Amino acid sequence: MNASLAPVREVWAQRARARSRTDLLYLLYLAGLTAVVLGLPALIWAGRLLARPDVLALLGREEAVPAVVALALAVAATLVGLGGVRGPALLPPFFTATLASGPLPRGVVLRRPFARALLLPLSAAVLPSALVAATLLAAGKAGPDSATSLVLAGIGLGLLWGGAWCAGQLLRRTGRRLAVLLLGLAAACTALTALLAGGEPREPSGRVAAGPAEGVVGGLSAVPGGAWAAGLVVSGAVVVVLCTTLLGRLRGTELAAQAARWEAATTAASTTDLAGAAGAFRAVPTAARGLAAIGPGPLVLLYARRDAVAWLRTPDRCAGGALGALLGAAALGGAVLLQGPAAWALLVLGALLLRAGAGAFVDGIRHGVHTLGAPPLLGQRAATQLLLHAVAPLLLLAVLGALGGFAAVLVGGGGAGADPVLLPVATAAVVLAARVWEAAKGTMPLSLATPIPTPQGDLSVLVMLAWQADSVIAPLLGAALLLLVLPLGPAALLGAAAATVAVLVLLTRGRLQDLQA
Amino acid sequence: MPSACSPTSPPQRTPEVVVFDRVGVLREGSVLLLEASGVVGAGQTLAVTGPNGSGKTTLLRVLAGLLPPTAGRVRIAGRRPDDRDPAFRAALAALIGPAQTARDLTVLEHLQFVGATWGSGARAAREQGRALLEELRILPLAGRFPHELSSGQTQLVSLALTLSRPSAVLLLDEPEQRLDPDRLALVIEALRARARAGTALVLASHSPLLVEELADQRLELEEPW
Repeated sequence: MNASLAPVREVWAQRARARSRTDLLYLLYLAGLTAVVLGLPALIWAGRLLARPDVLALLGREEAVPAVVALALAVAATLVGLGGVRGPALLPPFFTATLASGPLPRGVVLRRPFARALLLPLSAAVLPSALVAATLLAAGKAGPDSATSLVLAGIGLGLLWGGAWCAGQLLRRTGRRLAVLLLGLAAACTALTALLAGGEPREPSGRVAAGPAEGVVGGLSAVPGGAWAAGLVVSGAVVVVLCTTLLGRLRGTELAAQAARWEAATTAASTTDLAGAAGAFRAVPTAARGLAAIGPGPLVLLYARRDAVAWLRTPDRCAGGALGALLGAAALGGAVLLQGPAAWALLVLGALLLRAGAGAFVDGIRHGVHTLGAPPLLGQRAATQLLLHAVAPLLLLAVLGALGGFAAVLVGGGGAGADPVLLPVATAAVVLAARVWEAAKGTMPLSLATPIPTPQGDLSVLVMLAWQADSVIAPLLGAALLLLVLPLGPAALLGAAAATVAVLVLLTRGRLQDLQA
Repeated sequence: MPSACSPTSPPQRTPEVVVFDRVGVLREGSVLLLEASGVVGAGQTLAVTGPNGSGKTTLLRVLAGLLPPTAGRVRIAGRRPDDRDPAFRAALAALIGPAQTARDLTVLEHLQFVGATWGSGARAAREQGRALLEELRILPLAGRFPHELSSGQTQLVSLALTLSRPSAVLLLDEPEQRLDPDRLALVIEALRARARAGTALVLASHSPLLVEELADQRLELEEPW
């Protein structure tokens, strides 16, 4: 049988709501125009804004290059892991069952979704590299050649990341775990190299001194241009071509499972149920079945032990969560040691990583909320369950926060006292309270969808986005508040953390009451 | 027309554990339950029957305190249904819809955890859990996670979870769902044992066998339209 995609495409193009060729061309024109008219000026503006001594000092440090390599390897490891859950070559369930499981070569069918998905890692790599290039250009630390090389390197890296993502989808569980481990180790070793190369001047406060921008000659600004960037692009292209030829080896069962999961998640997300969408990707337990989750002792211990054993039953997720929380805490500790935009960028990154990591340890809290509205089964009310389920993650996140902060102190060479340790620990408490608040979130109130007509369009979408993002915004604001009060001393820091947690507890109480009503 | 329960055997004088009088539910112009009345004593079983949409589940939800009635009066162990009332919570166990399970606990650990939250020691809760699984002949499922169960097994585990907690009143919504005849006989025996021990049972069912075997009284609900 000589099946071809052409008739399928023809049928698909004849749908009532199909995009015509003109529509597609217009879309491309619009995207190109937006990039030139809005994107480019925004990039130049951001570059000028960031071309300040402290940022340039960071970019110019010797360890900037190994740090970027370590970050790239860590992202690649994450993408390999992600490929096992949601790979880049994926079609909706209907097309997976018809096209990808039909007479057509699977590799040919999956080529287009793979190419589309590549845009994601490409954007994630190109945008930061373009921003660095714009910053160095604005400061006069790099010429157009070097800037172009940086952008080309971003393209190459994006393609390599796409390859890593696809590899994660192609590999079986053991191979995938091994790849993640190897890439993670490579990232850790490279990061260690970067750290050992450190040893920067400090201010009396312990913060890393910005240093004169004029003295910046090394780091990213001194990377030789041309050949290395071209090498990255060629490597990326080869990897992508190789992945494309291997798409036909993707297993049908895996594709069907990923497609069903993705559709469930997107359906939940389209109904503004982002928690449900995230839940579709939560791993089911696979290990430690024999470990006793229930043991003797008071209720606090009963719940804490149950939660801790439950974490071990999804080891990949648990390890990923712990690593995320640890890196987040280290970034928060680093934010104490730095100044200016770099400090705030690390704070945002740290809070987001800590929040993401904490997500792996709050299933007990989520379950406590789910018992609302059902006939009582457990001996404690939902609110009491939440408190009891919060004990184990609080302890774990506090320990991870302290460890991450301590790592930041080690890297920074000391000098800022215990502040780099205190900030992540206090932020961990805020993050956990925000997670509990998030778990108690119900469906979006319809009143938020009321149109807000303005000359610029309907602004109700902003209100809805704010409602959706509140559990992300809360830890960010909390971390920012804590960083601001940190100079006032540990008592002020702990007081601010306690006040923030108290506010979130009150908000959670309100949500629980709403859910019960 | 109001529905009132009718005894299927001579009435016995037992403490009234479940009382509902002229209970009706109206939601956004739709009648979900016409006036229903009944009294169930300790050790008695009330079977609520009627066609789909007649309000059987609605009545159980009202009795469980999950849905406030628009009209009428409800008392469970002498108390108004209210989730915030610890005495009410301690008195009532119910299976209405799928039981809430944790994705990361095995079947036996679920039972053990429920027992422990109600004050049993870990070892005693484990033994009780095993006994319950043995009673429903699903002990081989003890080490499975919820996502590893078939629909019939899930129903049996849900029943086991509901039976694993102490209660004076047991509400069950169509406990016969997805069960084969042998399993249904086991469930009937398990429920009969609870009734003999003094638990008041209210069950909504479409199974003539279940109703025939267990019910002391029957409440036939009519379609509210």
